[in-house]
Amino acid sequence: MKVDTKEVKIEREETRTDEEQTEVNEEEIDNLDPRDLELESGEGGHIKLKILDRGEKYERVRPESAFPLSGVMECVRFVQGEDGDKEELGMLNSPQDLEQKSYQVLKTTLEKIYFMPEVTAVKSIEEGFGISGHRWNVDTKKGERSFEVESRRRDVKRLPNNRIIVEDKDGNRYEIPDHTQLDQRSQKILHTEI
Amino acid sequence: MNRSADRVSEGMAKQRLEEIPEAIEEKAEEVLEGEEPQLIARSDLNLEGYFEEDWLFVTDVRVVAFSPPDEEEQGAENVDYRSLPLEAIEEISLKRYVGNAFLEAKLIGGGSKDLIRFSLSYTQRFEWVSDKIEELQGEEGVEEDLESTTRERLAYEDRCPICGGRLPEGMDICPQCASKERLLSRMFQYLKPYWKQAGVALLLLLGLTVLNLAPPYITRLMIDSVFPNRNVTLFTVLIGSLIGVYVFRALFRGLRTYVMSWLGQRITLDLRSKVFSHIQKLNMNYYDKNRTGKIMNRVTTDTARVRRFLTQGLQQTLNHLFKVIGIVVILFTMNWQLALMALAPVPLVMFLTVVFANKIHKVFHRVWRRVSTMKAILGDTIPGVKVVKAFTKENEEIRKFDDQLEEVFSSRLDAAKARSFFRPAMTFSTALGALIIWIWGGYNVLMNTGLLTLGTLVAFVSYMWKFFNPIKALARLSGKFESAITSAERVFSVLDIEPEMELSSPSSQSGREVRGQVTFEDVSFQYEAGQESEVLSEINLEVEPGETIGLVGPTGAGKTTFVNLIPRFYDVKEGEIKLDGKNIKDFDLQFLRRKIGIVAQHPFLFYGTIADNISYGVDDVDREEIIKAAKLANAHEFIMESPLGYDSQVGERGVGLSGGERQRISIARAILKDAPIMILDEATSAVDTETEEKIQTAIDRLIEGRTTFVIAHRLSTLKNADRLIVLEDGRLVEQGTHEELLEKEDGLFKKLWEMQTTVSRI
Repeated sequence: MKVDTKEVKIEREETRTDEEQTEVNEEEIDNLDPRDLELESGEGGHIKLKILDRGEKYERVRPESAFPLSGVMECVRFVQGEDGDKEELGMLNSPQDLEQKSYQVLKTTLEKIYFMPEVTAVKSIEEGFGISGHRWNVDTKKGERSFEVESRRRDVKRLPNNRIIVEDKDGNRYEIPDHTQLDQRSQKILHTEI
Repeated sequence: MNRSADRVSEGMAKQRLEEIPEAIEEKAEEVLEGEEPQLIARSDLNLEGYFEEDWLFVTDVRVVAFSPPDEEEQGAENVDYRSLPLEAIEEISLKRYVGNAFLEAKLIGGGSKDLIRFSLSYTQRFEWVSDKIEELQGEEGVEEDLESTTRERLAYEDRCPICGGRLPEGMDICPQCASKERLLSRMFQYLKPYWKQAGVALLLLLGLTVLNLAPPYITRLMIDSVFPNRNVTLFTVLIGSLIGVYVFRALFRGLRTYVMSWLGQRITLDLRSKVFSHIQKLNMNYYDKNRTGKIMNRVTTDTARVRRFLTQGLQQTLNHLFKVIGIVVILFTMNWQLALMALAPVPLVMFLTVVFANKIHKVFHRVWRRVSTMKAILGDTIPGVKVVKAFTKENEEIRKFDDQLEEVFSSRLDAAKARSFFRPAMTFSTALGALIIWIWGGYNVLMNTGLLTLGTLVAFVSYMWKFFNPIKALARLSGKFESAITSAERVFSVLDIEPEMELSSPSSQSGREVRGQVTFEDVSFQYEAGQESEVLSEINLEVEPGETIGLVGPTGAGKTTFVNLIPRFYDVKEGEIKLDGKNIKDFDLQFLRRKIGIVAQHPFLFYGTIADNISYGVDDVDREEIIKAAKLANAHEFIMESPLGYDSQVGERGVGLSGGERQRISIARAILKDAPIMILDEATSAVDTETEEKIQTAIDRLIEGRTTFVIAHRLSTLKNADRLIVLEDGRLVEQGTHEELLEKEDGLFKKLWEMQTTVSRI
């Protein structure tokens, strides 16, 4: 299947002649101007979006980040429709230029969609007596949490600037923005894991 | 999925019923006004995204979510709740995002509402909840009570009934909570058939311990009784027994080594054979979820570790125990005051050993991880050196590597630090015992106080040296025990997975001729419960015997999944697939699979000769038939070109076969199998044009008269198919002959076709 994927993709790209390519660029890369946008909060990770210069209003739009881990609020696209039938309304590359209220709406909505609580202290990491993995007991900005991590190597990711992202067995993620900034005890516990 | 439902005993069920906080229970009673809750489910996030427990109550008329109050203001009056009548809900859907998910209710007349929020650990639970709510919405409601829904939910969730941790595939109880005694007794089951040998080994061991402890005692007698009194008779006796001790020790040791090896290998053999035959019967799902290496480890490393524990570990422990007890008894009988003093450092030594073992374990784990990261960098950059050079990234790679070296260095240093403190500390504390003996004992001998003889002193010192090694080993025992138990758990966890499909069941269909009519009726499929979208949905298709069906569609449309369902590599979740009008689940699995031939994109050849590979899966074949199949598959020529012909080895040191050659061997294999149904999954996509022609003619011969499913990304190869079906996002969107589909304006097939023909024109 893998090889299949590649080949088909390549073919598709090749079918576009140069002329088409530029056409596609103009049409598809539709950057939105933050000053033309008005956001209102909605339910279940959706927002209401007004694009002023087009005079359009959308009731149920989902914002999606292009860089959920490295910069949630940096490049955001707005999508309409459900899985399988999505339509991109446009990209917003500078959400920080949104109006204050709209910015807040976007921020809280993205926090819903990309839920990655920040770990403030590591209380203990228990070596699993069982099959594999460890149980982490931590404090996060969203409250206490205890979760299982399957593999140190795969699931505890060290990123630049001492950032660590831990993924638990269920696919939930937790972030330590800078592990050297944690309290001494947490650092000591974390020491064996990284 | 119901397998564990009955087994969740009352006690466990209670633990899992998850105590509802008083405040919420009180509030719920007030809000629900006598309506019976049909199901109750707890989440682990509140709507604001804090790790709090919201509770969802569903009655037959409404859904209510309760949020518990803050810690300071307990009490029902502070419980928040959101209530929604079932009538107002059009649809409930689970919105899965990154790290968390929502249950969202779409309201009749527009708009929607978030019911409850939870982390991904609870998606299974709430998926079940949303299905259940839908059922409750149905005309009459369902005859359910809280007890039974809870039980059903627990069975659905695949979580440990005791700790709530995620269960390994197919297990009923998590290894953490499995009783250690039960595990041990299960391990001993493997020792049981060989209890005689084990008993002999144990007796030899006891004898050895006694023999090992004898020499210092003999020394003592020599010094105290023989030399001062010039007792020649005793001297001869003692020398005789010394000779006896050494001879028997050698003899026992040799015997024991042999018996133990026999025992160990026997147990390994039993275990490995059991594990291997068991995993052969497991569903493809198991293989999808576990890496090959991991599965192989179960068969090799883990079984070996269980063996090591049962033989060496256990026996050594007994050995140490015997020794320690023996020495303590001897020491106390010789001189109890001195014994007390000499044994004083024992707790210190044990403590240090445990601390050291823990510390070193952690430190070395770290070293190991660092080193493997370093190796990963090497593994990336050296094969990719061309890219590195092309982008002139040499300096950056060097810096990255240097950084990693630095990390390796610092972790190694940690290990060195641990060692340079603990090792000397330990040697010193063991020497302490000997020191005490020399000081107190030496003084008494020197001053001739009569409390101690010279012989006893010498014997004491040599016993002391024998004493600390077993003590240290015993202190480390828990670690060893743990690793053995872990391995045992792994092995048993594999053995505990019930094969999802019985390879053969006597009651099922077999032995009949199969015509090859295949019918898909409302078939839907997803690989794992809880996935957002279905891989296949509501497929309906009827294929006549001998018909050739081409499967077309963009990548990820579900083509391979579609064909994988026919031999039951995976089982359909909804709807059914029928063969000659009978559900394929009613067929004997082995029989069913014998009736289906598969030629895949990358054919897998086993280690063995070419003839073996062609006749794989078919019993008792004539050589002539093998050659005939190879000829039909256009494989005969190249096979005969190699000097050993059909006896050429395939595999590492065998002949190098090209992709096209391997493909033709696998076609020959399929021809020989003579199955009424054929599946060709991208059979020609990995070969060059010239070979493709040869393969194509071979394939044409192969599929003649058989029901055939062909997947090919090159649409031109499907021209001859009787019918094409076009899949998109798991749905069957178009079907018809090549020409018919091309006539369809805006058809997906037409679009794909045009794309490909443009490419070939360029």
